[in-house]
Amino acid sequence: MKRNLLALCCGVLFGIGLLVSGMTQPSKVLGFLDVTGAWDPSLMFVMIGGIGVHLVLSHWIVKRSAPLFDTTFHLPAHRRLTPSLSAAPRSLAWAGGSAASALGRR
Amino acid sequence: MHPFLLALLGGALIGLAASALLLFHGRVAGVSNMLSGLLTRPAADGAWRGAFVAGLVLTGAVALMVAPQAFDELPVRALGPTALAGICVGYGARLGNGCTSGHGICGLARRSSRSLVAVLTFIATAAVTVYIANHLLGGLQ
Repeated sequence: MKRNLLALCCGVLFGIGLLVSGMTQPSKVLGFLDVTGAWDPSLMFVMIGGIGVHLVLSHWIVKRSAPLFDTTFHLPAHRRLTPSLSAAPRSLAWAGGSAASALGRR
Repeated sequence: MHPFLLALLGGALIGLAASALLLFHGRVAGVSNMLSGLLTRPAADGAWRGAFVAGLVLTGAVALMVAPQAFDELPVRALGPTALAGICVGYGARLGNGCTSGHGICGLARRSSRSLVAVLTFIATAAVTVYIANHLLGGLQ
């Protein structure tokens, strides 16, 4: 129960972070991606803040033998680069989807 | 406060939330992975995933009531293409094993090369898409 309540609090904090940073506004994300238009670097600052804090804290946290409410850390161990690896096909799908959405609007 | 400072502060809060989840549960705060875990393996560890996502949704719901200006007025779009776009994003996030939270914040902070490739690829392709939509097809706002 306490475990789940803490996960809920993490979700709330994450949500507050999204709100404060303005990432609840799709126009900000699109503004970041529109590099040849009216570029909005906000998303870059969100990444810097998030990565910076998590870089320092996670470095310290994973030195523990275990998390507070579990017996072990569940971190992805597989670090090799693979072709499906990630995102290329996904991004193409994303690109296609966004384009379809754009066209659907017209 | 300047929007960029707010962005930095909000980002720091997101990093703090990801760190808290790691400290308490030993888990990566990847939202797409949580959602898929909820749908495909609800019995195994579904509770904390459900709780985290509920926290996100709850915050959004409260914010919508007390500060609706925090959200964009979204243009009305055709349902079919929007659903197709949603399916593409979801399928792609599964295929790439993560999204902006899992790869972009947690993965990069853990200096994962896979996450770096994933993030660079999806930002680059999304930027190309926005270029095509905004500057070649006449606008997507």
